[in-house]
Amino acid sequence: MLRYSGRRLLGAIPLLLGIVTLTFILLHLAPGDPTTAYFNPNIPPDVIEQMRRNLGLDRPLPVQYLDWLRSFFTGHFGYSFSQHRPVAAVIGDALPNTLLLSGISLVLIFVLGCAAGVVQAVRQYSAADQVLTLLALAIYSVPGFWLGLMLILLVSSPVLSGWLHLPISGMVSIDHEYLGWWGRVADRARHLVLPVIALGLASAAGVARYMRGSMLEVVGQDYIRTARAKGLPERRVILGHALRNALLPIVSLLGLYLPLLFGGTVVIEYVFSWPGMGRLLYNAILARDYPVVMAATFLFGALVVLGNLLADLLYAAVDPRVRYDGR
Amino acid sequence: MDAASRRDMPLLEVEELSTWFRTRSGDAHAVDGVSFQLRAGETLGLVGESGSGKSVTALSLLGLVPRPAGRIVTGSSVRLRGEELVGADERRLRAVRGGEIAMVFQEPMTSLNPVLTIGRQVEEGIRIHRRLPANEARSEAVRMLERVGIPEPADRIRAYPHQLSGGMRQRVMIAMALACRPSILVADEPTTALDVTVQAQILELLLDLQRELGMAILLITHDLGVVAEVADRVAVMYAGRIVETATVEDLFEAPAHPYTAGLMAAVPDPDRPAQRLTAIPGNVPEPTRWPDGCRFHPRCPHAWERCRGAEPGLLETAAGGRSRCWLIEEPDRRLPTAFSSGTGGEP
Repeated sequence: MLRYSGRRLLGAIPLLLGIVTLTFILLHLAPGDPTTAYFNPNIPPDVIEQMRRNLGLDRPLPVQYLDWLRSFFTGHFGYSFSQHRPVAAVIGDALPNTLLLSGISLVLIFVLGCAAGVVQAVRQYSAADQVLTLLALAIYSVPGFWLGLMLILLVSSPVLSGWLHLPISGMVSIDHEYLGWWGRVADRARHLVLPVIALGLASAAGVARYMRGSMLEVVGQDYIRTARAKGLPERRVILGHALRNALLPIVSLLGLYLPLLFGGTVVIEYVFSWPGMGRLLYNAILARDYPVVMAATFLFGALVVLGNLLADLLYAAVDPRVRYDGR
Repeated sequence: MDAASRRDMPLLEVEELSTWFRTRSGDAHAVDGVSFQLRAGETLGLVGESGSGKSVTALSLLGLVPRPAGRIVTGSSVRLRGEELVGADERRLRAVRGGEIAMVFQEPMTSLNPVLTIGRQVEEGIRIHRRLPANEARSEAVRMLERVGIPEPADRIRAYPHQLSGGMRQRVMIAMALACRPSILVADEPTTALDVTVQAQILELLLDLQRELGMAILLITHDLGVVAEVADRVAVMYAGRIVETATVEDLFEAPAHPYTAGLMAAVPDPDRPAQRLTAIPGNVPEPTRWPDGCRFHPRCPHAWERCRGAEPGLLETAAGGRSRCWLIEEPDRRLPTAFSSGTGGEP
């Protein structure tokens, strides 16, 4: 398994190199540069030119590209044009927040999705199944940012805001520093509620559809009949025998949903002013903050590669028929 | 009650069992008024083509008919030692399943859960029915696997089904079924999916275990050769009904029902290799539209008006068996040449 993982990670190097190269090209194809933000009739053009020289943007593109690669391989990532701080520090602030948000969303997506799918499959064509199907299709069809905005409107409405007290933006309340340890955890948790729902609900609905189908297929298998013929209670037939088999195809969905999830953070973090990688990337693109965009894109790419590897390893862990390294 | 009368009392009595499935083209009467008895320690062969209702009969005994499409019709009765199982509550049925009536299925490939170790799958039943703690259930599972001829059972309990051959898997299925010492084993085509040499081993094993544990076996098969080897009595099913019952000797000596005769003629006879194989013309009809009158009459070489008009009951034959055929009342109607290989061929 270690050898397999090593091979997969080595294989990811050209992929990630391709990602950053493409990002670099796209960034420089797009109109404007970091100085565009300072565009102002009162600033003389030679000052702008000086700024451009200071940032090294006057050099030929291949030179800039190689320069970035060098800074990347030294683990330095350069300086943020807009925040005037090392990119590593900027990302160091944002990355944990995004991992928290997307990690919890991921758990929600799969736990909620699988639970709904199992209930639907076990009670196929029941009222619960029909309602959940309708709900899942409706939620799946709604874009996350719109859902986010509607959630904000909803919890801020005079009726609900009185007793829900859900924060609609940021990660912590103003008085966070004065709260006790538990108070801080609760404060963070309350701030997570809306972004997690907006980020994960649509994917959870998708997982529920897959899980329902997968479970229905498994429940019709011969070994489920065997389990029943053994006299097992239905609960153990479903949870002990059917669930693990039905989860197999869902595990590979994990790899598919990760890019979707990270893509979602760009919009959702912006809607909820969540200080994470998504919002960082969004702002960096607006500011043409090349080093930050490059680093953030690379990181998202690396996370997706890692996530896919993890999904494949997890697959081998739940399905004894799958073994890597020719074992 | 004394030993003699206990032996006489049927272990399992099935009466007027009907299992219907709702389909788009109406109710399919897959099993339609089937009655038979199974005595302790005996082997009853249930024979018929695919679609004749054998497997559904087996599933009905355990209340395992797939729902909601299928249902056991009111008026059906399955009694285990006199206790009615049709309509019994799920709790009681669960205790019967695997505990008193166990089942071995046709496909050892797909009948074992691919993601659980065979040890876990054998132990499970033991823990449920015999309420043994985990370590005792484990050693019992090892003993059972050893008994069915799995080499190095203490290591193999950690194996997954895909790591075993077809024959080994079927042995695991048998170990699983017999782990709780059931009084009845329902074996649904237990050897059909296996190589011929392995088939013989598995049948041998089943008979050994039957002698050892004293259980009754309901052996479901389409293979008359298997029946001849292991069964005491035979019930032949056609189109959801039992059409003939007889001891295995009588059946092979002189099949009373034309369908049985047809089945036998369709088995290749090694003593007469030059002979052409005979097939029963046509197919088993659709279970949504069984033919009127005798259900076999559209395929029967002997059929006359009476067969089209009315269905015979299970009439007693001269040998003491029963046959659902008007020929029992009007033997002169039997055509001598039907199913040309004759009716008396040894299996």
